[in-house]
Formats: sequence, structure tokens, C-alpha cells
Amino acid sequence: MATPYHLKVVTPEHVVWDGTVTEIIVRTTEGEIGILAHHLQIISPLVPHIMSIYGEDGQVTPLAVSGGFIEVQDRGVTVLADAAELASQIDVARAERARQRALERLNTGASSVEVDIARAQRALARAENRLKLAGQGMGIRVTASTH
Amino acid sequence: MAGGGLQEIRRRIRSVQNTQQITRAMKLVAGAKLRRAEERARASRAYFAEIRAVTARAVERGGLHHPLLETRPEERLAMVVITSDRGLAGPYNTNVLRRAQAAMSASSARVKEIYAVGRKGRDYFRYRNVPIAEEFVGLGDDPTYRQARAVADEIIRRYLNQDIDVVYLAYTEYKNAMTHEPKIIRLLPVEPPPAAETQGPLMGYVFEPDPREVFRDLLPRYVEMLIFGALLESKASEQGARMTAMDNASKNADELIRRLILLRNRMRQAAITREIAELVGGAEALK
Repeated sequence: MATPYHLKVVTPEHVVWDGTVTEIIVRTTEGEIGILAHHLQIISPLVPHIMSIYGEDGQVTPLAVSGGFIEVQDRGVTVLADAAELASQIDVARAERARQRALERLNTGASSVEVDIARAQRALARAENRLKLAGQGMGIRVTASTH
Repeated sequence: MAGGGLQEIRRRIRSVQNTQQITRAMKLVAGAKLRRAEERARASRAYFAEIRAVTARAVERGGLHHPLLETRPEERLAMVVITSDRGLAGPYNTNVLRRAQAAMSASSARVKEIYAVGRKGRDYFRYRNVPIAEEFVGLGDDPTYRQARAVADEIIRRYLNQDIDVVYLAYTEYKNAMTHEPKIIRLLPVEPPPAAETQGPLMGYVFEPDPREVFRDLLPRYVEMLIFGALLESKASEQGARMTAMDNASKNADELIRRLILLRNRMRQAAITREIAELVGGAEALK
């Protein structure tokens, strides 16, 4: 049994997670890392991804994170997320709209301004990330009902 | 003429009563909104405390290697002022505007400009011919992080362009429903939070991939969060100030109505007495 440690996931709007875990897997700008207790102290930006949280009871909670930071310290791990949602908290319709909007902006190429393209790409990444997690949940339900 | 003055007083009583209904309603609404604003301000404090601590540690360990951390001579100053869109909030807007104005006057910067968040601030500085670089109005009762980011994006862009050398933020800190304090903090260059808040050994802290990259992502977010926190604090202060102001207004109306009713009764009694006197006088004359 892995040593438990304290994880805190906060967004500007609220605290998403504040409790003990045994392992988390996050994707930083440098790639995916798994963090167990006594991990090296680091600070790194996160890209939009689905973070996995392993609870003490062995249960895995996936969390859609829309970018932010992770800071690993001896006394615990803090994830400063721009936004973070559990599968059940994702507004699928809204994410879908955001995805369409971002795609339109990228496809029409109406604005050749670099900033706008970069922004649309980031919006697209966030929307797809949310939809992916929401989709996973649905996928499980679908397979369960067909068998 | 007997009823003339009396009529006038009755009309005033009704008028004050109507006004009181409005102030009472506004007080109740402000009270409900205050609870919500308070709750949101509270909910954001965890993130704020964390990003403050992370920024402090990161700056302490990563050194001052980022354009947003480098100070320049304060030639061109920008002041972000957070006020409300609507009035009837007691001294709320006046206090923060006066504070901002004083700070601007005290500065020796050659160019001074305003980023007005809220209509009241925009109108105040526009009236005084202070250049307004950008205005953000109609933010509503629930400021969003996105709105804070819009402000942050703009000032960071202009700071990196070297259009402005220093950016301050004037907002109202919320203490409780009765007490709010106008405050000024520096947004840019980023003022690292005091290192005293950090703890633990300084070694063995790795920036992935390197401090520059981390700062590039971290510092704008810190600025965004300073603004977002200020928006929430100011909103709670505004609702608190409005609630207090409307409570006072309702109490004043009570007092005013009480006095007017007293006056009305006295006048009515005087009119009756006069009529009786006239009647008696008339009867006497007939004898």
C-alpha cells in the first residue's frame, strides 16, 4: 500500500479536492507524471488534461483540468487549476458549443492574428478535454446497457 | 385655506412612505446579494492564498527573471479602479475614488491613465478629464474570472509593450457588512508576496521545465487572481455599503414620517379648534 499524502485542487471559484490520496497522474507541459508520496519538489505548468486521483480506498477519480499549475512540496501537493470538474459536473452542451465556436474560428481563418488563433486552439483543447471525460462516463453506461 | 397646508403635509407623508418602500426593498435585495457575494469571495480565498504562496516560493527560488517582475522608472502610470455600475451605495464609490485620486496626484509620473472597472469610476474620471485607456462596465452582480482575465490581459499586454511602466489597482476590501476599506495595491511589475509566508528548506525545488517557462504561466495568473479577488471583495463591499445606506435611509424615513404625522395631527387639531371657536363665536354673536 502506497503512502498516502495530502492533495488540494483549487480553482479561482472553489475548492475541488481537499483530502488524502495515494497517487495522482497529471500532464505537465513536459509530459505525464505520476506522483507518489515523497516525490521530488517541483513546480510545473499543466496542460488541459484528465487528471487521475487514486484515493486511499483504491478508487480512481478522473478530473478534467483546464490548465494551471502543480506544486509538489514535502507537506503535500497543490494543483492550481484554471477550472476543474468531475465527470458529473461537466456541462456537455456548453463544452460542445465552445468546441464548435473554437473550430469555426480556426477554420474560417477570419482572423490571422496569432493571438486569436492561439486562443482558439486553447479553447478547443479545453472543450475537447471536458467532452472526453464526459464521453468516458457515457461510454461506460452504454456498454453496460448493451450487455 | 384651512386644508391647504394640511393637504401638502399629507402628500409629503405619502411621498416619504413610497420612498421608504423602495429603500426597504433595496436593503433586502442588497442583503441577499451580499450573502452571495460574501460566499463567492470566501470560496475564492483558498486559490488566492495558494497562488500567493506558490508565487512567493517560486520568485524566492527562481529569482527575478521575468519581464513582469522587472521594475522600470515610473514614467507612465496606469490605475485600475474598481467601482460599482450603480449608485445608492452610500460612500462606497466616493471612498475608493478619492483614494485613487489621491494616489494619482501623489505620483510624479508624466502620463497617468485610468482603467475604469464600473460606470461610476468611468464617469468620475471622464468628468475630470483624466484619460481613460479602457473601460469595463456592466460586470453584473457576479464578477467572473473571465472578466478579471480581460482586464489582466489588457494591462499585461500594454506593460510588456512598454506603453505603461507601472500599474496600480484601487479596490475596496471587505471586512464585514459595515466595514470596508479602500485599498491600493501594485499589479505590475508583480510585487512578490513577502517571503516570510514561505516555509521549508529552499533546496530541492525543481522548476519544470525551467523558471522562465513557469513564470510565463504563473505570473499572469497571479495578476488575474489579484484582480479577480479585488472584484469579489469590491462587490461584497458594494452590497454591504448599499445595505447599510438603505437601512439608514429607511430609518431616516421612519423618523421623518413620525415628525410629519405629528405635524399633521397638530394642524388638523388646530383646524378643528378654529372651527369650533368660529362656531362658538358665531353663536355668541347671534344672542
